[in-house]
Amino acid sequence: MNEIYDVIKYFPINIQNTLKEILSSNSKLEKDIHEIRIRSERPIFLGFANSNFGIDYIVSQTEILQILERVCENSIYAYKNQICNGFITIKGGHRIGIVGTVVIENGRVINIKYVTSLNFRIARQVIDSSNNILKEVINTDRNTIYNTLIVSPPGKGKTTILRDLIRKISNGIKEMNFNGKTCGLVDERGEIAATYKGIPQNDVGMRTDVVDNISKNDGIKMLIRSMAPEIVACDEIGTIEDVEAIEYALCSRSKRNLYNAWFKFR
Amino acid sequence: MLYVHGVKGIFTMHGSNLDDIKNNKAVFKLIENKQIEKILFI
Repeated sequence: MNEIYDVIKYFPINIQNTLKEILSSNSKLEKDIHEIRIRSERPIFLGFANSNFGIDYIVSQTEILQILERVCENSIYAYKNQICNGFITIKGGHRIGIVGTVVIENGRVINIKYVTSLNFRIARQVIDSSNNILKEVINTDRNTIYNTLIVSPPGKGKTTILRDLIRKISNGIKEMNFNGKTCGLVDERGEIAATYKGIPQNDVGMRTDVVDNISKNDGIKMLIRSMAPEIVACDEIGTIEDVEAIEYALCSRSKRNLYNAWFKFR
Repeated sequence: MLYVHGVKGIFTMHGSNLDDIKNNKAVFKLIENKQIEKILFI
């Protein structure tokens, strides 16, 4: 489990040493840590599933800027769009939330002037996390899936399970005689595939096309029009626009499906 | 009866129970119209 060290390397050496000392004192911390919160002129906090604790290290504003420069590979300007969206995805699929003094022009965020907090969310792909629900989702009679809605409170693993489900559906499931399907994934916040410079950092399957950093509405329509998926997937639906796009997808038929239409007469 | 296979979908939503889904009229419409075939609570 080296994910945490993928993240720590972005911190100034003093912070790195402090964190390494704490993590080496308890191996369970390395495995269970979910996030590292950095706040200007306040202690560092480590977050776990049901708790968090502070470390006796006060982060300076200068150190926050140093961290941001490292994350942006010394070119904050090149990452401006991501910063204005409030997060940056780094190699390994880890996401850094960014907040501070926002500059707005014509109703749009054009800059974050003084970054005051960074939230490093440690990405961990849990292979086979969807095993318990596979039989519910897969329609083995027709070698397809049921249109499925997975519901749970925040932080309980919906995204982790969705990711694993898409991977299995895309690759096929030998044990269930299920052939792999072309999947289209709308990764609105870059949390599912966690694409970094065009490469998914998480395994979402060999037949999966990913569109990220786009609304679910636009992303679904783009996938339907350009990639002809057999299955579309997205996380955290809830708005009227999300539902309209889903209705568009579920009612759509690609040219291939028209040619392959099959009939059953009663 | 004619069956034509279209695009299928998997989606997630915040919530704990059926009432949470019913409170979201837009999403509940998908269920009322039988476009969602299975709901899984985790």
